[in-house]
Amino acid sequence: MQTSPDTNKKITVQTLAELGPLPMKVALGCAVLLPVAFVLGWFSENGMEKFAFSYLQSTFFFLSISLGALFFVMIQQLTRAGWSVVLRRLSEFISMGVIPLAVLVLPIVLVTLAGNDILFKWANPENVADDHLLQAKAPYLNSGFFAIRYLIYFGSWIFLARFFLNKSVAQDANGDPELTLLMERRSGPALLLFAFTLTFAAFDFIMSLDAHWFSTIFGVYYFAAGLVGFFSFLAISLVYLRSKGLLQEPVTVEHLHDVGKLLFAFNCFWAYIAISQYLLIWYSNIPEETVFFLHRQKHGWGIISLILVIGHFAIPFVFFMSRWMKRNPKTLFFWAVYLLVMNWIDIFWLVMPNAESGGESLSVSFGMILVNVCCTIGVGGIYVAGLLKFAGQTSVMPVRDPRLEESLEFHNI
Amino acid sequence: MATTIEHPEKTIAEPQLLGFLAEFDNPHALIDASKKVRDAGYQKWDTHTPFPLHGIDNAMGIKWTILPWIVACCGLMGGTIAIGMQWYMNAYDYPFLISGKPLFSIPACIPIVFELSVLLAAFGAFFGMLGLNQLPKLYNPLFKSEAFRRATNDRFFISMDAKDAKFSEIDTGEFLKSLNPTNVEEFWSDVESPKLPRNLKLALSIVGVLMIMPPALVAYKRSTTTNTPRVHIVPDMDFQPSLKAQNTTDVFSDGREIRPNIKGTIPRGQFKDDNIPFYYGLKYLPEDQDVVTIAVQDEKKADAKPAEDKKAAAEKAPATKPAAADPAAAAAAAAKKLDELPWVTEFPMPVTAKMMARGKERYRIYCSACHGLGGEGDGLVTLRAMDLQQGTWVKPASYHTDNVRKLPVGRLYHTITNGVRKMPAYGPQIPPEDRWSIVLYLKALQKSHQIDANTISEEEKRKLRDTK
Repeated sequence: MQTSPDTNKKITVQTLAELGPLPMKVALGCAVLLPVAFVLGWFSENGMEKFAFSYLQSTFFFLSISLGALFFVMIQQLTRAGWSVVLRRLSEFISMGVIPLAVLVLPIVLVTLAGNDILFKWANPENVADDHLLQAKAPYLNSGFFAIRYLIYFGSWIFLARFFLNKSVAQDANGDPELTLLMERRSGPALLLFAFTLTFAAFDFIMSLDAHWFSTIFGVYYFAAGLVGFFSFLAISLVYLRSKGLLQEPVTVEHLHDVGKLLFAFNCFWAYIAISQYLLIWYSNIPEETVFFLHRQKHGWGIISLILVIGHFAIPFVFFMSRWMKRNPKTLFFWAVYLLVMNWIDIFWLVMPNAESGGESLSVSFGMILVNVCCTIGVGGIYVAGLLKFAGQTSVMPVRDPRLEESLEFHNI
Repeated sequence: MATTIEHPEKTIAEPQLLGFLAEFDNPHALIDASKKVRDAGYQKWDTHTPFPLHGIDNAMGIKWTILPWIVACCGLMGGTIAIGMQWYMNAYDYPFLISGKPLFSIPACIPIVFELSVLLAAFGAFFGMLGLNQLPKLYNPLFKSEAFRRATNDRFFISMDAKDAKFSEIDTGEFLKSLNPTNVEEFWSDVESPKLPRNLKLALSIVGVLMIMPPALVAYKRSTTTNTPRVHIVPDMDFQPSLKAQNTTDVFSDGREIRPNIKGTIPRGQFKDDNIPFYYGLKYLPEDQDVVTIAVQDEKKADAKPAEDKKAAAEKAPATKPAAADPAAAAAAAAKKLDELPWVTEFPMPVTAKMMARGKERYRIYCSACHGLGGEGDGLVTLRAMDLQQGTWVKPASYHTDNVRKLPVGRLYHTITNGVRKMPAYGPQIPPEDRWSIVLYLKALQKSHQIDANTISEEEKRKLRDTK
């Protein structure tokens, strides 16, 4: 593998620091909404349930984006993709979001360790004592093992994210093509580790909210949701950064087009996984499985379910067909924001119907949505601040990647 | 490359100028030249390169392909066909309820809609691409050019088609030379016969005939009848190794394929001894159960003898049948035994109006054909048998004789269950509840023949008249 000698000189190193202090200030300002959400929850009816579940939803919404980014980075290395080099550093930054999220998820684990059953019914020995199924699942679903698994999951993700970012940054300095080969070789086993940790994390943190229900495809569902979230986030970031003069030359309409294509493809993938999960449960009609969708048809959740079917799949499907839409930064930006909101609703729909008070599911209400939105913006502030912090003075592009020239010249045929 | 054709005596076509071929030795020169040709306003021309060239589309001024629209239309068509097909098949033409799902439901349709949309979209993309590219094309006059062979290696070409409106032999040639190609040459149409080689025609004809044969055979077989079994190309489930109830086998020691109940077991739902009055019409089961049911007797005989013995017994049956010796005495003895059994006199289930209505309905279905609607033994079957003077026909007894009237309900029930004289056993066809309902209705019929019309009130008479 050869590095083009003049690549090093042609590229000017740009960093996210060029955006000035404003983004960081805005992000930290948003973070204030997290305590606001907590106070809102404190004063409203069933507020603690609402806040606990919305906190879980918010963290796992952003976690899905970061995990999507991690997957993207690894799959680009695995397939030796050339076109995506200019986007890869940004994806590596986004994948570093697992570090602030590890801290943010920690309270959930600690509360569960203390035996609190607001979120996870199986965490409380009293609930397990009069529930045969929970007893049967107890060897896996118990707070001690749960905490250990939390360490394994986040440990693996932080390790992977740091590995791929650090090796890539190291290449900026020495231009050693061996580093690319190393990343390619490591990405295969890394993806295996990623697949297992993500699947079981989705089982543990979201599916076990309703410990009676189970779906083996659930991990893939969360993964699909995460990729939609990530590509939306990537498209939004790219368009935003280009408008601020960053990456303007290297990232062309061709790259935006491909990000749009991937967003479209993974949105279809999400729909495919969603219908796969639904269809089997619908067909076999077994009570312990259908309870999941039954929850999501009552107490106003039916409307959210329909919004997902139509808003998350049918409407964007039509608009994403157009080549023009994907090549126009403004329309791409609009639909990326739209799908990010839909992805948020998707995680909302996964988590919130499990919130219950006195054996009754909480219905969708303005209060609940308000708490959720505040909580998400709050967590998002911390998340983005963390991303900006990790990006720091690092170049937004792997400036001495051996395939950079291929990426700069990238052109859809 | 010239094709070799064996018939030089055929008409030699006049060669025509089909166009010009300009050769370039690098892609940049080709792109520059393409821009000039495009700007000169030519429509029918093409470029030929060994590898895909970025920017050549722009340089040639090629419009964006309509292929996506074709694909979208095909995909939509596939989805529509899938929805329509499933509605027609499942909900309209052959409504078939599967596990309580609606006949036409969207979730069940989605996989097929997905598959057909993808399939037709793929077809649209594949065949649309071929069609738009005018492929497959077996032959192009350009291939005769020696220089053109390097188009797949290291040379770049522009070909101008003579059919273009702006094409003229001299001007276009001059124009091409002005583009600084390394070489310009003309290409001409074939001078050989445009006819197909004879062997090809023959081969195609044979293939055509062979292809017609299978459908012709199918059509023939479908329109004729035959005594021989059909040909099983795919046997499906026509031949199964499973055992059949009435066959013999070497697998089991008793030689039967059907498996009799294991001794001492009772099939699920067949345990009757928990409610003797209801199932047998008896207060309790007597020691000698032979008289109770014919079925019980048969079962005992079957259990006592293995099949081989039975076969042997069947051969010398006339000699060993004890009942055959004196049928009349045996029948009288059996009748006497029956009379002495402990028959129930009360209904073993609550008597309701609903049960009466049920009994009336069942009576009219099963009994009235012989016994008549009023139970006088004048059913339509009986009337016809009498009419035809059938010697073997025994006229059913009227219910309204003293003998029958005195019979306890248990006995009537037993008669329905196991039959009597020429009457067959209805037990296997009519469930016990319905048999009791019939007995109830029968009792009501008997009562209706006893009553004196003067003893009932006017209102009751009217009611009776109105009731059907």
